[in-house]
This record gives sequence, structure tokens and C-alpha cells, in this order.
Amino acid sequence: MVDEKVGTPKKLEELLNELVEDMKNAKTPEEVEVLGEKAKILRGLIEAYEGDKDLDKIPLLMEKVGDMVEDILEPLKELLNELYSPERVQAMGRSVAEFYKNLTEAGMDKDAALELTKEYMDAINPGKKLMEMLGEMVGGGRHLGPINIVQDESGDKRKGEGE
Amino acid sequence: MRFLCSALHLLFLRVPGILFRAAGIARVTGRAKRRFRRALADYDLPDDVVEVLVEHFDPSTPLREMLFRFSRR
Repeated sequence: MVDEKVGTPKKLEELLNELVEDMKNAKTPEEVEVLGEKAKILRGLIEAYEGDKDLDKIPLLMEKVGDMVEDILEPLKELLNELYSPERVQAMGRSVAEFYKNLTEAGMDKDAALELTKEYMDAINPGKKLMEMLGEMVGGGRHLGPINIVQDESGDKRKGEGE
Repeated sequence: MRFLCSALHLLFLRVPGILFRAAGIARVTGRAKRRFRRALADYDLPDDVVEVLVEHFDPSTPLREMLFRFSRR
């Protein structure tokens, strides 16, 4: 039985050697022309074989991607579990509520208090920052592009591309 | 043949595994959201404020936005 993996390139190599020999021994232009046609066919065969080899890489790639996604999701879940443990969320909720209440009791406008509370929440909610970074990374790296340096009248101002 | 086996393996073993883990993440964030809402409600904040703050707190929002961004493309 012919070993499929070894047999095909060997046969192609034999055909190629045969073709080279025939070209060396060719005497008339007609013979060379026919051999040229043969060479084209052989090239097609080699390209088809190389294409099949690429197709063989796809399952391997899918395996690797599957492994990678699982390797990311499991620790991410563990991390979120830790960041959003019941006690932490309870404490976060308490501090946010107190922050908002203090602002409104001090006489601040409701909308302004809400905006400030949101900013405060951004500061104490690392899980959301993490998810945002992950989302940006997966979704095309909106904020990970090169840094543009914009110069205005007041001086240098560094600005991220996605902003 | 190898390609087909790999595709079936991916479809029936890998994809459910990945979905199971994604569901685990959704469960963690959902639980955090509920607990946060309860903590805010304990302080007698107005319902609309609670809703806005809970929505802002939701850690799965960035991932959801990313998924919808993909579906819009």
C-alpha cells in the first residue's frame, strides 16, 4: 500500500525529474513545446498538492483557537468571580448609594449628582474596565492604535486615535 | 476526512464548552448586578436612579456592545 503522505510528493518529484530529462534530450522545437505543456500540467498538480497541505492546517488552527478561547474564558470567569464576590458588590453598592445621597443632600442637582456618581463608579469598578479593554482588543483595538500628537496653540496635546 | 472530524469536534465539543464558559461569565455578572441593585435599593434611592446606576455598573455591557458591533458590520 502506498503511504499517502510520502507517495504524492515522491511521484511529483519523479515526474519532475522525468520532465527535466526529457527536456535535456529534446531535439525538435515541437518536442520542447509538448514538454512545456507537460510542465504546465505538472505545475498545476504541484499547486493542487500545496493547496491540500494548507487545508490540512485548518483543523490544527481550529484546535489552537478553541484552546486559546477556553484558556482565556476560564481564568476570566474566575477573575470576575473574585472581583464581584457578594461582599465586594455589597460594599460597592453601599459606597455608591452613600456617595449619591451625600451629593443630593448637599444640594447638588440630581443630574449632576448622577454624572458624578457614574464617574465614581468607573473608578471603583475594575471589572468593567477589564471587560472594556477585552472588548476593545477583540473588537479591532479601537484604542490600541498609534498615538497621534496634535499640536495646537497652547502646546502639545497627546491624543489616542479612537478618542 | 480529517477536516470533517475536526469540524465535528469543534461543533460538538469545543463550541458547547466555550458557550458553557460564556454562560458562566454571564451568570457571574448577572448575580453581581442583582446584588448591586439590592444594595442600592436598601438605601431608598429613587427607582430611575437605581436603574441608571445598575445599567452603568453592568460589567457585561462592553462585551455586549462588542458583539453587536460585529453583528452590525
